[in-house]
Amino acid sequence: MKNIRSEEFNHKERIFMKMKYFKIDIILLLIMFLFVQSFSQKLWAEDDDSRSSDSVDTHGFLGQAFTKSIQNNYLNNSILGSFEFTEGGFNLTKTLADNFKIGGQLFVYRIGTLGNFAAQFDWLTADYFWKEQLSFRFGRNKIPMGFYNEVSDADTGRAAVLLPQSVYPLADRNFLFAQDGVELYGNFRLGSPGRIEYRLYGGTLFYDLSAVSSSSITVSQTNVPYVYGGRLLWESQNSALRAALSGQSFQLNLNYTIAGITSNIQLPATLALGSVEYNTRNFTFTGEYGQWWVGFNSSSSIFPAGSVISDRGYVQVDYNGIEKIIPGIYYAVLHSDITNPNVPGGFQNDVATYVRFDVTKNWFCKVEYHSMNGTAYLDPTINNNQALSALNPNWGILLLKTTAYF
Amino acid sequence: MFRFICCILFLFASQFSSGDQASQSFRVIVNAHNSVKSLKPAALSEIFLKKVVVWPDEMIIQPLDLPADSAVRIQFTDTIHQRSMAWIKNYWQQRIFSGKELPPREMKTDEDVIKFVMTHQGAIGYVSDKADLKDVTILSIDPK
Repeated sequence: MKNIRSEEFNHKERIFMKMKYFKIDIILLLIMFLFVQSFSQKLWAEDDDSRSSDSVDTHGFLGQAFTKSIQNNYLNNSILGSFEFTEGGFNLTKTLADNFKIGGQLFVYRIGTLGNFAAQFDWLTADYFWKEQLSFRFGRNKIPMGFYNEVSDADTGRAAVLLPQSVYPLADRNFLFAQDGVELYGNFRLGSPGRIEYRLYGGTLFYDLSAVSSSSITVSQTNVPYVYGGRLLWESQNSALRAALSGQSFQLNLNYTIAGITSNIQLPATLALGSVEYNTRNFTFTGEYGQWWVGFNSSSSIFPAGSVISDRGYVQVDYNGIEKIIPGIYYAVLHSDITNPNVPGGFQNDVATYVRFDVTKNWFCKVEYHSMNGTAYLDPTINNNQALSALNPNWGILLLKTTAYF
Repeated sequence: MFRFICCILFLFASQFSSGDQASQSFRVIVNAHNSVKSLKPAALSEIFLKKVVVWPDEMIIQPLDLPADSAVRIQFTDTIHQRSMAWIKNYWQQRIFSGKELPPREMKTDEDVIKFVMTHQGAIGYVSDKADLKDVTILSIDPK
């Protein structure tokens, strides 16, 4: 009886705390939203005639989503319905000379247990244009992986709320989104065959410890001794067709404690992705397919050395022909281990349909529904710590999102 | 159902038909000292999307846009980029928030564009065909 009362009390306390934080979140978001809206209107009003080469360009966005899922929690406590999906960014770019500019973007987010509103620089770059065939970027640069990795953070430039998660997983944003180092880039005009653009980079990764810690594993130190990679992109002369090959290689070293024993683990990884996009006047067709090779070596006998290759891809169609409304659909697939592609918990099929509605020129709303088969996207820690294979493979999630930007 | 499928097919087929049949109601202008006198629509599109950023003499290109709701810009987008305004807007949003590039400077009027092009050697802009043009070079658009 005492236990039941105690559980009841804990349950009520959790609901109370949840409501309390929910109210604070809503108030904070409303204030930020009003700020962004009023600031954006002011900037738009001034923008047309005041921007000059010696001014600072400012842009920002603030987005809030509501998620509601059936059968499984995804990203947050979505079965109950959750507002724990907030993203905001603010950037400044200063053009110091015709061929030299500096800039940075502060980014905050909270998506379930990820982010927790800790502000960090999304990118912080000095960009020196030397010549068309060879130029340089120094600092924290977004990683050119596929067509959309660089724009994962801001959904202002796309119709869908979530990019296909098989290729651009939010949970892996730490090692996918930006690298600290140097980037070489250039462009070769080929005449009627179009042009080729290359991007090469090398450096290290900023890694957030909280992203790899959990209730059972404490990670005390992370280190990325190297990351390097590149993207080669060909585009036809009228930009109708483009194709790209991207690759990235890095190693993540972790010191972790599990059941009181401290060990270290090395995770070398190589990612490869092929991309094709075809644009007509109003349609955009995109397809991307890639494989990730991840190895692991550990000083502990708990985790034997080994490696796994996963594959992932998607096909997508967006329609841009209606003023202010962009509908679209994609089908994404993920196999966590290509030697065992259909094992329960090891695959994910995702059919997403979405529509974006631009209410004003700096405010839009999105509605998106994902029909899922498989559980490989899911996080056991927000699903009662059940193994992925034990979760219901047929589930779905609805996302409603609004974003203001300038 | 059959009608619905026909409508969808018609809508789809119409995307591939040529859209630059409408008469061109804009002029593309560059600085009078610019040696370039003619460009293809595809090359112009690359310039205004900042995919190509230097003139043949290595001078930095400074493209100029008119406001997004301007009829001239809408026609320029349709004829030169052969894309919808929504596509163009998304393209620039992706460039802005990835820290790669800023969109062309947006001028309020034809006169602002002309004034800027007159005074900046690398500048390129487009204006209404009714604009009073002097001391700038009108580019011929080579459709081939």
